[in-house]
Amino acid sequence: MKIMKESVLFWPARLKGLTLFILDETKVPGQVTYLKVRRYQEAIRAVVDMKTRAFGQFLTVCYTFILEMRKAKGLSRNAQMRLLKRVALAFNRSRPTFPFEEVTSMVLGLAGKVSSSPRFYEDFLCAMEGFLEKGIRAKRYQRAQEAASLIKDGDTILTHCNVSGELPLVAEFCRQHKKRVKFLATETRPYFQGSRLTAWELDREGFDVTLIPDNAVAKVMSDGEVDCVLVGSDRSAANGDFANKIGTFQIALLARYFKVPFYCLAQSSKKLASGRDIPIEVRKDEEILSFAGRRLAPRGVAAFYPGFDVVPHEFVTRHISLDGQMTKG
Amino acid sequence: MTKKIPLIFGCPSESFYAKFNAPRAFVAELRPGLEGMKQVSGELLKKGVKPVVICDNMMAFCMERGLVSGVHIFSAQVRGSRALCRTGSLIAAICARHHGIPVVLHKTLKQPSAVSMSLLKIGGIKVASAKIKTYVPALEEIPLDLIDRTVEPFKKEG
Repeated sequence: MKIMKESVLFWPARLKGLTLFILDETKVPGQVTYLKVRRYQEAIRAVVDMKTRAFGQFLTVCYTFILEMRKAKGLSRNAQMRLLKRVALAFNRSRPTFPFEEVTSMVLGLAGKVSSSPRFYEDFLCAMEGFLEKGIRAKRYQRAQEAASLIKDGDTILTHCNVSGELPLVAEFCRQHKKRVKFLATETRPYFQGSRLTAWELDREGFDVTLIPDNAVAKVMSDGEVDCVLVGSDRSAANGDFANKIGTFQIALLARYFKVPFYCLAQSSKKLASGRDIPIEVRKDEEILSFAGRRLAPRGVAAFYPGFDVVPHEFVTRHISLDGQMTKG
Repeated sequence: MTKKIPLIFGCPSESFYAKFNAPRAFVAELRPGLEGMKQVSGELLKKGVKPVVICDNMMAFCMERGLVSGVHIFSAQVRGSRALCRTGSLIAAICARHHGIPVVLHKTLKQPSAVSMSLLKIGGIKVASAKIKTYVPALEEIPLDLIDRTVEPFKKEG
């Protein structure tokens, strides 16, 4: 697989020796800085504080298992397995919407498979590193390529939140096929992932991007300025429903009203039957009413902040999944 | 949050506040100026109404979860079969129609202007690079067939 120039958001965590470096996405674009994590409790804190999100959470989980295993070198196999289970439990309790349990179960399953090996420690680390580099990275490249194949020359793509560095890759595949594309990025309140991350990374890689407020989506669609919608997903259900950053459902509904194709970069899962089973995290109202410690609203005002919403499968034109399959919604 | 409450999207006139009698209401924040979070919420508080601010991208979620009893949008002008409203009102109206929630159009004198509506900052704090292109349409047209009730008569133009 030919590695292309990647956005820093594409692989936002790296492990060097006994230190896990997690990109602090709350500081981008002002600073590209990494949190130094040496204990799994610090990794959990980074997740809860939303220092990392989406694919960054997935990487953080996987690398934290590797980190803790490296630190446990020399311990008995039973002690190592107990440690992995402790780490899994802590992640499973961290945030509700992202499928931590599915990721940690997968890692524990992998550990279980090599647990009878005389080289358990080495085999586990080798399997995990291979899974990430050869498995996940290659699959994300393939998914970006599949997405690019749906986009036509001259298209304007509307996106929401941030797809962890995958959008510049989609745009790069389009560029390689001589397809000119433009992006409309919603700012994605209240954390501005669209302003701070998506617009920044696309502009940085030389792609045409225009930032719009979340409330302008119907306006640009009704004016015929959007050819398709492309978003990521935080969690999928077996029937094709998926959860993503709050606001995605609204965009899907509008796309259907204005007959704009709606594409979702997904990771298929059979754990939950439908989107109704996906728990929605409700966060503190201060996260809407204040920004960077500065109060925006008058005293006495309350807020309601659901962090995610669910898009029913019938609103999705195509799911583009990590295994390269494209399925109709 | 279990009881349905009204959703206000836009900047009402005095007459709206005078007649509004719900104990609580969702208020869309109205980026980029945050007039919903600041002025509309402030006015509601003065009238004894508890404002619950939501971001402009949360309207469909609240409707889908059965939390919204009705949607109030505002216009200073009706042209033919369309009302000129604050951008985002079309989202509120389409999502409400999808969920079978009534949409009420009120007359207002307060139309936003596109002047100094910057997406690059919030509360004076920078959130995006000055290099990023932005598009902030102040107003949009709402087809009157998405409106269930008009409170005050509009002088039709066009």
